[in-house]
Amino acid sequence: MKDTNAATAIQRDIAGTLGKPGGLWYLLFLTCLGMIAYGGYWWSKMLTEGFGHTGLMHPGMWGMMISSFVFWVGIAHSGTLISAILFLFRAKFRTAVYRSAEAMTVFAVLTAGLFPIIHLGRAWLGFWLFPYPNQRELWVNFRSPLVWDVFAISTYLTVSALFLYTGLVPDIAAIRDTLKGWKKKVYALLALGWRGTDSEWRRYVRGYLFFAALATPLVISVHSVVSWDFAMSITPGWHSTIFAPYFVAGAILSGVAMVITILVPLRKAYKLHSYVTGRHFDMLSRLLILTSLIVTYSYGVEFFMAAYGTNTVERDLFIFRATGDYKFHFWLMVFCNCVAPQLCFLKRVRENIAVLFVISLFVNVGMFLERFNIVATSLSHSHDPFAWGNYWPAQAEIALYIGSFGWFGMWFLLFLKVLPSVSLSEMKEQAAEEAHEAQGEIAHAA
Amino acid sequence: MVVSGCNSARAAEDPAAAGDIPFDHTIHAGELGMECLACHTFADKATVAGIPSASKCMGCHRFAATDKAPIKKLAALVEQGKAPTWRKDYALADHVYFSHRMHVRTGLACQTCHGPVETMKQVQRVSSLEMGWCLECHKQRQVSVDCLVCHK
Amino acid sequence: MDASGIGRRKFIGSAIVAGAAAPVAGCAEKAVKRIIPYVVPPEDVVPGEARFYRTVCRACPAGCGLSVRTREGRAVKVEGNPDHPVNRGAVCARGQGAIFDLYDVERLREPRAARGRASAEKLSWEAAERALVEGLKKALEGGKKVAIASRPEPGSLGSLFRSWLTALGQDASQLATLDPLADPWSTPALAAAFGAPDAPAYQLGAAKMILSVGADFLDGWGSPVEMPHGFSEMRQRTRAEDGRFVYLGPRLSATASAADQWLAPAPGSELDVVLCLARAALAAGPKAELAPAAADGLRSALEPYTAESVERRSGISAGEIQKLAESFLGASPSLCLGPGPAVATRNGVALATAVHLLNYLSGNVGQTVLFHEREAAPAAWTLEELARAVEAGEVGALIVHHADLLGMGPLAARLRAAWAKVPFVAAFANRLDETARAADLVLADHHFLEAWGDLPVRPGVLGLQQPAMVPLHPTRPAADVLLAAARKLEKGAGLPEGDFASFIRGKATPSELEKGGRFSAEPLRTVALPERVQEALAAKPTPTPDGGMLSLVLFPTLRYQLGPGGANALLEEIPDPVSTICWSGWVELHPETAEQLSLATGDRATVKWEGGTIELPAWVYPGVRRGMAALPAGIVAGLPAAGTLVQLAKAGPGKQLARTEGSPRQLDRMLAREVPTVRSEVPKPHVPKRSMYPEHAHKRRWAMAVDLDRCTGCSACMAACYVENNTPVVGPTDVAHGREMSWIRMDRFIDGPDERPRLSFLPVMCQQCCNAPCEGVCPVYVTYHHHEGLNAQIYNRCVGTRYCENNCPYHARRFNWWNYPHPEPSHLALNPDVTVRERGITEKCSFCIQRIRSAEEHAKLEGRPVRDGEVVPACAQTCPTQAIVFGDIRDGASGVAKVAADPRAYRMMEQLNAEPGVYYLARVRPEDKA
Repeated sequence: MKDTNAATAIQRDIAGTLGKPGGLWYLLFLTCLGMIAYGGYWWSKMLTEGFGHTGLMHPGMWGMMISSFVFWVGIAHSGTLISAILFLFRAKFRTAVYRSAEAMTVFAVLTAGLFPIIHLGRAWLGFWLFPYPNQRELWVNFRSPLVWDVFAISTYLTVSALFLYTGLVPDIAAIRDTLKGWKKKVYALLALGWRGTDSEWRRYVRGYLFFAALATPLVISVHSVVSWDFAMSITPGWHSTIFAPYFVAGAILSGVAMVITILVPLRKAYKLHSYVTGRHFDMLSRLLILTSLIVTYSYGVEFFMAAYGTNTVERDLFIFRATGDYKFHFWLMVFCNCVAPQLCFLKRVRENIAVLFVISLFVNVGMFLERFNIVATSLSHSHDPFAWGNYWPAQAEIALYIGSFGWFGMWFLLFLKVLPSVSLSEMKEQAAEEAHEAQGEIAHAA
Repeated sequence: MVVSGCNSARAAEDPAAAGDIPFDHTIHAGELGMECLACHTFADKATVAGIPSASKCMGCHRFAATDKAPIKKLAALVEQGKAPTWRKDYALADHVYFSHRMHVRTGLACQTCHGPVETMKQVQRVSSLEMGWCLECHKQRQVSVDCLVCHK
Repeated sequence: MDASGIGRRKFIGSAIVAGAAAPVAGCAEKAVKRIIPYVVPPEDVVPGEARFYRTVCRACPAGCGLSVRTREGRAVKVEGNPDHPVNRGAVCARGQGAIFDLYDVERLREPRAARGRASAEKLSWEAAERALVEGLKKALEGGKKVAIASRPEPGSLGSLFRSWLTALGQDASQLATLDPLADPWSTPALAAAFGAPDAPAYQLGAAKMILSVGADFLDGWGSPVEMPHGFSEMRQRTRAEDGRFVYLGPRLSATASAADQWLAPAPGSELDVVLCLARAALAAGPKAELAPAAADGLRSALEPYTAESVERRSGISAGEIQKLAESFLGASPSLCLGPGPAVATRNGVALATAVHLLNYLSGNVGQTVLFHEREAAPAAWTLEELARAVEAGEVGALIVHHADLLGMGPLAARLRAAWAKVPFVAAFANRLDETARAADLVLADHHFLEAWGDLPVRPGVLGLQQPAMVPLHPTRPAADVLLAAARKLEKGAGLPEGDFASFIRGKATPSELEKGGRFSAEPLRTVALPERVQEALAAKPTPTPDGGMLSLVLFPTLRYQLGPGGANALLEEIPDPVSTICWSGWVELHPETAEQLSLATGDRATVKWEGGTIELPAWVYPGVRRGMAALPAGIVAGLPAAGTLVQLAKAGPGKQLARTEGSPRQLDRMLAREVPTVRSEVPKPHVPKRSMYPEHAHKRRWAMAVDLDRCTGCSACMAACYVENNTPVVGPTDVAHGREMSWIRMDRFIDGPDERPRLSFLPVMCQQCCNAPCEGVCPVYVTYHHHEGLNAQIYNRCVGTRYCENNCPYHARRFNWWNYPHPEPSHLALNPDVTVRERGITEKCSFCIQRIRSAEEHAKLEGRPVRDGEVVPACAQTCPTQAIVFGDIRDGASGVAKVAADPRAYRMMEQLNAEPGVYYLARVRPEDKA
């Protein structure tokens, strides 16, 4: 039967990506470990000697570490968008890409969650940020956006991880069935005894739907909460009600770009061209355009409000952003986020994977610059001119940022070797549906 | 220094302990029934209770128990113009402000916090000195639990 | 040895010491604390309570009275003696920094042998005393002179020096004084004008009009506390009646910025202006005795100094000069101060004489210029005479007492050249300055906080100096060492029997020691002008800058005024009020001059003059006239007088200059505000009172009011805060990086066009807001609103997210970037009432909560409420002009409530609705009636 052949092909191709890693995998993995070591070294210096090692200063008390935090949370959101929201919308093109996207979400949140700890002046007391009953009878300050972050990020991590795991169960079972020995035992444990019966599938679909519905609002809420780290303050350039939708849109933009950045080399390395097709990239680039336009609109609104309103401090800040010491970063950001993605309007560009890859890299850079722009410029040009000062990252923060990529990369590479990066079950299901439809057509035609 | 650290009730290693004079409260406060304030004179007058000066000890021990080894040790020290040093069991962190007189003047017995010292051959710390321990008493007696009352 | 007397000050190693010495660590290394009790407790010493000892400050020669706060036998804070007439309870930043000197790691602890050695070798006191006796013996036997060069010692120590010299068979006049605050023109001018070199005291408070001729009396010229205090009094009394202060000089110093008008004549023409005023005074009928013959001579000498001719020479319009004359002569009494180093060119003597003349003719002598009845000063060598004696090889032994002869002063170069001719030099010092390093014997003297002495400032004002603590190191007082040497040489005739301490104690009653001095009526004497005073007014022309040369301007600074070696870490870290530069000197240039030389702020420039050169970073400042280069006075020995032509060249780009300034312009953000008169109301923004939360119910609200019209920017408040609150000094790299830790900073704004710049100063500390933006964002409740109106900060709860710092619009919060070291013995300077914060913690001004708590505790013990004025934060206490008032603003009768109700009162950034607890009174800047 055609669909069985298709299913076998899918199983063979995708499951085949698991197993013994090749030289390239080892090279990348070691590189990631090296990056982690670099970041870890600098963090240990910060922990043992102090934050003097960073580039932070008065008034720039937040800098690259917070930008990194927001950057990684933003990347995480796109995964949930693709896997949960598009699921609810029954978007067919999501099937091939959503698994990697979900995994990306979980690992991005794991990475993002490091930074609120790393950026603490006394990180060894970071557990005080969690509300737990203690003899000092002290609770956390629930009015603080940083505490909201704690809840938001931990909720997001929990839900995303469970969502990923739930979706993985049939695939883990499929892999289990091909293995022997101790590996089989491990996968068997993780597969929770999945046998593929009807009732199990029914529960699986309901469970997955439930998680998708649960994860969807998180996409809006988590990044809104993260944006309120800024919007709840009175710093000029931060104190704006547009931050929540602005950040959510930016998150999707950066996430989609990261998905593209990951998928293009992944597809090439594992020869997944028949699964992750040009149509997928076409759809992703349309998402890119949409979110880029929303972000562009947000920038415009910010500037408009600053110019139109009577708050001269706000106005001066925005003039500083465009013309001051950080203007290079600002205009590069505008090019990367607002101009480059618009090229996707051209069909030629959407069909050219290489160009799309480059655009996605631009967007990654641009979205990082956006967070940096928000954090650094506002703090450096605030209410009292005598207290103005420019923040520039020191080696410690750059090392931490590089280390975060290493950390993310390490988890993702491990994932690639342990779990199927394309959903086996859904791909098989989709192939079966398409085959039936084709048969049905033939039957009708006949 | 504000040290992050455990509030371990276990006393740390004390290298000077070997040379200490083994002051026995059961004799002084127990048998002889001396008042706490007789030696720790500043407990109701100052923020710190204080340890009696060597001359206060010698006030009695110029004549009393002069044959005992610890007394001889004490006398020898005073001869040299020195005072014996003592291990501080009830040591609060640098970030804590504790005023003895404000507590003593409310009528609190010393034993409330320091335990039955008159029965201790060697003083042990009986209270955890944790913040929660302080809070409990403050709440019971409806005294302020505002942070700045105790935190410098 | 008086057990109780010494005992009271005896430093006991208390638990605090053991704790402070313990390393910062986590669980594992908690050092066990030990308690070391007294052997014999001193009477009426209550542990945990501060004891205060009154003494005199010797950080500069002004002689302010101090009340030193000691805890457990060690000095922790310098405060002012409210009974001392010179400073009335205030202390300048230098005085506050004395604690740093006392506990300085580098302070000399024992004698050394230095000259000719690569590093100064340590000696025992026995060896040192032997060497001293040897050196003196050789000199005496060789028929050479023994001379003493000392910092000013007008009291008992000075007379002891003279008796000692006499006892050794020397002439008592062989005592030269190196006064870091002295200048070469004052004494000759006084002699020319009034026949005697005794300097007058200035009563600024009584003046209705002050004209300063380059005298930066709010930047350190004269007595650093008495002058600003007097000025503040003058403002208080005369603001409502158009009291006026005009500054005549080339540079916009803090003093000039406090003026109602700043006139910048061409360099050297200040003399013309003053003589023009004197001419007007003479024409209007002199208000003092003047013999007709003298008047005639004066009149003809002053004839050419008409307003028109002076206009030509100075560049100031005749109309302005006339207005100045009217204003000066119309106010009675007025006061002309100066000249300061900014304008005292080589015509300094003439200019100083002119100033005296003007004051005399205006009738100010006896009202604002007070000459006291005093004994004739004993004959003494000038530095010139010392140098000549040294050069002639007459001096066999030179005793130096706290005088850096080779490092500062006008004769440093000459002395350096002739130094080898003195076979034996013994220097009493606290640190190895240049002179000490060139001395055969360096004798470690007590720090002044550990020493006995006295300091007569003027007749009727005798400050008594007593130790605030037992000496920290095995140092010995200079007097005792000299007495011992004399006795060993068997030349003790006429010298006091015991030691210097008992000598001083014998001359004072216990109540005088308790008061800090003997203060009585200050008898005045009359003076008269000599016959041909006009002869002293002859002037040489001042060279005009051309061909790339610039005219030199000098100005006093906290850091360098006492010489290049005078500053300790605290004074280096306190930014210079005008330039905000820390840890460095600088040369100031007008923007156009800088552009011509291709110099930007921070670039290195070489300044060359005949006989010297120095390389300094440049600071571009519109407050200096074109064609001028301004340098801090005392930054290097041998600087020429103002008006000298110097050559400036760019040496290269420099590394980042450590400055606390971000941007100098206020940009209409209404931070440091001004009003035209003292009764004007400050327009306030409409702030809709909106809050989700109910208003705080304060039973008491601590608030502060800062009068910007009285604030001179001197930054004594910063220094006091550092010492009181254990704030770490971070060093130049961190300051350059924007990491200074000061809880109160001095915002300095330069507004207005480059042609007419205006300076304003704004001390900013935590505003203790009611709707504090910082409170809502701290995730762990480190900061919360206290029921007495404070914004509390609980250090050990802080995890260091730094959100609070971002959200503070006043940028009042500071973060601990490192564990700042407190190497022994500097850890003894730590105030035990304030937590020492470790790295990762955010801190801020607490309104001196430790003082509030202490006052409330005492009030509770005594069963009474806290009185207004009982709680004085360190900044308010030390301010020389009493610009800061503190108290409970809910108490309508309190000082702060009254000040806050003033029409000039406003709060910073009120439109943010943060409800700050700090009120500022707008600076009064009368409109230019141009």
